[in-house]
Amino acid sequence: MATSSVKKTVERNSGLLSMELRVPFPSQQLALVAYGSLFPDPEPRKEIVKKLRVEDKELVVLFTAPQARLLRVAFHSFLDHLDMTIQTMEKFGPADPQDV
Amino acid sequence: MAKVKPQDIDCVAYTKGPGMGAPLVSTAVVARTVAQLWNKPLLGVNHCIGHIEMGRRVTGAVNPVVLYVSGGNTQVIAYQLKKYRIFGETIDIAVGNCLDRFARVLKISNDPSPGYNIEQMAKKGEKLIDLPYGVKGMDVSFSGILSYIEDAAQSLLDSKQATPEDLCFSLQETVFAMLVEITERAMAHCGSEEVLIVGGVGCNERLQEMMGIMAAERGAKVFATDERYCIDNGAMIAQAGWEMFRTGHVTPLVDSWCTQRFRTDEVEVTWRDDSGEPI
Repeated sequence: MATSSVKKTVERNSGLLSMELRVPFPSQQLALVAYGSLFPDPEPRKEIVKKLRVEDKELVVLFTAPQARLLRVAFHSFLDHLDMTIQTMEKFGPADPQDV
Repeated sequence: MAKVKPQDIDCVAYTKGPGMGAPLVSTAVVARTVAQLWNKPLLGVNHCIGHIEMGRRVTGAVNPVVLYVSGGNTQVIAYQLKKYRIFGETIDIAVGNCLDRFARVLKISNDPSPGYNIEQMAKKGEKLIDLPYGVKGMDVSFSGILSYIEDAAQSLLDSKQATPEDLCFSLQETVFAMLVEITERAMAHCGSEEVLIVGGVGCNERLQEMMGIMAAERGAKVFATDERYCIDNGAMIAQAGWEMFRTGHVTPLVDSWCTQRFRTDEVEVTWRDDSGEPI
């Protein structure tokens, strides 16, 4: 999988910090599998909001939280789970990523 | 590897709860990924139901009162009208947690497990030390017993009033007697002639023996398994998942979130009829 990019912004008006993660996949099908694997679990703390969507072959995740500390916690555990789903795809996924 | 191909698989079962958040979510993520890659239905399974169904499958017990005893759970369960109902449970810590923490007080080895080593030492115990007895109606309490024995252990050992073996023996006899008592009451209530012991503490042969004495007195039969099936395993989730799947359950992705709290009696048991027979 290619490297992902992270964008960090501070929205002064709402007082909320947000962070966008874009993860490119070899195909839209695999991006949708990652979406399906990662969206169902809500954040344990309700101040943290995590919104996932798929744009073309990219999984896009927007995190919002009132404090940088909370944002880091949510982001950190998300990356661990993302890694699990990618490793699973590599181990059990199709040889040709278009085949899912 | 089991030499099973994706096309041999009907569905993907995973543990929805109860348990610790991080391990639950990480397996759920992998289960969701393979289910989607192979285009198989997903099934979220209750961990306790996994133990019960695995125990029934392995032992052949038909409609038993279930004693579920592990490091995290202590429950007496019986099937009635589509639910595994909890007749009694711990009001504080689990019995396995009590035994494990006591093992640390005596610096007993964790290899292969503290409970196993307590069981072996208890066989050499000769003196029964009087400990608090924590049965409250149908429920049990272990934290008071643990505090008591934690406080008393050192002075009893120093004054040579008891050996570490005596303490292991006394703790086991006391907590197992409590478990046998509430299990017997549940059996009397349900008119059941079978007891099934599941969960990690269920490997303990002294617990199985004490349960056997009680069962023999009432003409009932004990079903238990060894450590291969008692201790948490993946096959138990597969077995419960299969029962759910064959009777029409499926967990859509949107409902596949994990939950740290998920009581045994929340699950609708669709695979057994009102009298407990398989559907």
